[in-house]
Amino acid sequence: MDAAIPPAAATGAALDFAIRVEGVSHAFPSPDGKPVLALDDVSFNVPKGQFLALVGASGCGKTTILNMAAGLVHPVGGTVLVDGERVTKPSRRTGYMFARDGLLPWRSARHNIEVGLELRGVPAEERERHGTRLLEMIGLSSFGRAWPWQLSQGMRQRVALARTLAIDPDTLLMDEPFAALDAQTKLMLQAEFLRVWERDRKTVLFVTHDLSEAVALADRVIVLTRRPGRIQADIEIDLPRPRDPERIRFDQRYLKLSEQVWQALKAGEAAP
Amino acid sequence: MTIQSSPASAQRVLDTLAKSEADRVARRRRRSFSVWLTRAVVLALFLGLWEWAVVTGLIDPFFFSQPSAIWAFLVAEFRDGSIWPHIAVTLRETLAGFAIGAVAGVAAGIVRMQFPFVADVSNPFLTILNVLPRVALAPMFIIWFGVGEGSKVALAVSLVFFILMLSTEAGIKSLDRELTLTMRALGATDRQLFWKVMLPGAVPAIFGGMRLGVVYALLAVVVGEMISARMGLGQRISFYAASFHAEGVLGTILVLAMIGLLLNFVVAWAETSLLRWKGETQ
Repeated sequence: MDAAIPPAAATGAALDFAIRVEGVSHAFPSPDGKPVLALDDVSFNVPKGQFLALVGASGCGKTTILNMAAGLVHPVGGTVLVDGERVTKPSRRTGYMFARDGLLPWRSARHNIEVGLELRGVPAEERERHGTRLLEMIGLSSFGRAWPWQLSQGMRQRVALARTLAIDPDTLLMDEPFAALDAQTKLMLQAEFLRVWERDRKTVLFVTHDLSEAVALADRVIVLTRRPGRIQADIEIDLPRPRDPERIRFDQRYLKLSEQVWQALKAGEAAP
Repeated sequence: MTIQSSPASAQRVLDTLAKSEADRVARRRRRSFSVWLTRAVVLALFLGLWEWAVVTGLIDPFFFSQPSAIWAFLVAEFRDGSIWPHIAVTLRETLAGFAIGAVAGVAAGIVRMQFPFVADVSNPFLTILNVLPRVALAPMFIIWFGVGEGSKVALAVSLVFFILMLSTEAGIKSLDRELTLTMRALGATDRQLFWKVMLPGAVPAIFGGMRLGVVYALLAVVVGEMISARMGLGQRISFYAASFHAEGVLGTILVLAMIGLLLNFVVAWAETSLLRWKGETQ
C-alpha cells in the first residue's frame, strides 16, 4: 500500500475504495420524542489498505458511521458501500472490534477466538490450527484453556483482537478497541496491533476519541464536528512505516500533526 | 528515600506472605469446624429438650411425639421395608412431573422469546393460570387424571412449567446485549445466535429455576397424595394424621425432607459441573 495516497482521493476507480460513505445523514429519537440530527451529509472514501481514524467529540456520530459500515445501523439518508456493495446487513468479510471485548463467558479463550470460524462452518481441525496460531500471535499460548474471567482486561482485549483477525476480514472496523485499557497495556496492544496490520495492510476504519492514538496509528485522520457530525478536517498522516507507537510520540513530525488534528478538533467543537 | 533490595530481605517478605497465607487457610478451616460443631450442638439441644419435655410430662407425646419414638418408627418402617414402595411412588411422580414441566417450561420460554407475537397473545392466559393457586386445582386434576399417579404428575407439571418458563425468559432477557451485538458483527445468523449465545447464556437462570422447580414438584406431589391417593408418602402422612399417629406423620415428613435435600443436591451438582466456566464466583 502506498502511504502517500492523497487524503481527499475522491477521484480514481471506484473499485479501489474499500469503503465509500456517500452523503450520509442520520437521526436518533431523543428522550422527548423529537428526532435529533446526529450526522449531517457526511461523505468520504477509504482506499483499499488504508488505515483511517475517525475522531471527534463524543456524540458526534463516529460510532454510528462504523455501525453503518458494519450493517448494524441503516442510514436515514445516503449510502455506505463496502467493496462496492451497499451494506444492508453484517458482512462475513468485515471484522468489527468493540471497546468491550464481548467474549462469551462460557467459552475458553481458544474457543472464543475460534467462534467466528465456527459460525462460518470451518472444520474443527482447521479452526484449531488457526486458534493455535492466533494464541501464539497474541502471546497467550498458555492461556488457551482459560475462561474469560481468569484473564486480565488486556488479555481479554487481545483475545477479542485475535477473534476479529481469525475470520481474516478484508475490512476491519474498530470502535475504540483500546479505550478500556490502562495506559501501559494500551501502548503495548497498539504496537502489537500495528505490527500485525503493517504485515497484511487490511483496510481499517478506526474510531477513537484519543487524538494521540489516531495520529500514532493511522494513515489519515478525519475530524468530525460536534453533533450534528460533519467533516471538519481530513488530515493525511505521512509518518513513515513501520511505526512504533511508543517512540513516535517524541517525533517532531508527529507532534506537528497532533497539533494540527487538535486544532481541527477544537474548531469542530466550536462549530455551529 | 531509598529501597534496598537484597535477596535476604526479598526472601523474608516472601516467607511472611507464605506464612500469612497459611494462617488464613488454617483460620478458615478452624472456623468451618466450629460452625459445624455449633450446628450439631444446636440440633442436639433441640432434640434433647424435646425428649426431656415429653419425659417430664411437660408436653403430651400424643400430639407432639418425641425424637426417640420417631426414630423407632423409622427404624421399624425401613426394617420391614413397608415404606419403600411409597418412597418409590412419590419419587417417580416427582421426577416425572419435574421432567415434563421443565422441558415444557423451557420450550415455552424459548418460543415466547423468539416469537413476540406468541408472547403477547399468551400473556394474559398464562398470567391467570400462574396466579391461580394450583393446589386448588388438585381435586379437578384427580377427577381428570384419576386417583393414580397421573393426577400428581399433572399437579407438579402445572407448577414446574411456570417456574421454568419464567426463569428461561428471565435468562434470555438478561443476556448482555454486547454479546449478541459482537456475535452478530462476527456474522452469526439468527439461528446461530440462538444456539450459541441465547441458549448457553440462559443456562444459569434455567438452573436457578430447576433448583426451585424440583422442590415445588415434590410439594405438588405430596399435596396431591394427601388429598387422594392409594400410594405415596403424602398418602401415608394423611393416613397417620387421621389415625392420630404423630410419630408416623413426623417420621414421614423427615423422609420427605431427606428426599427434598437429595433432589436439590442432584440439581446443584449438575449445575456446578455444567457451569464450570463461572469459576469459584458463587
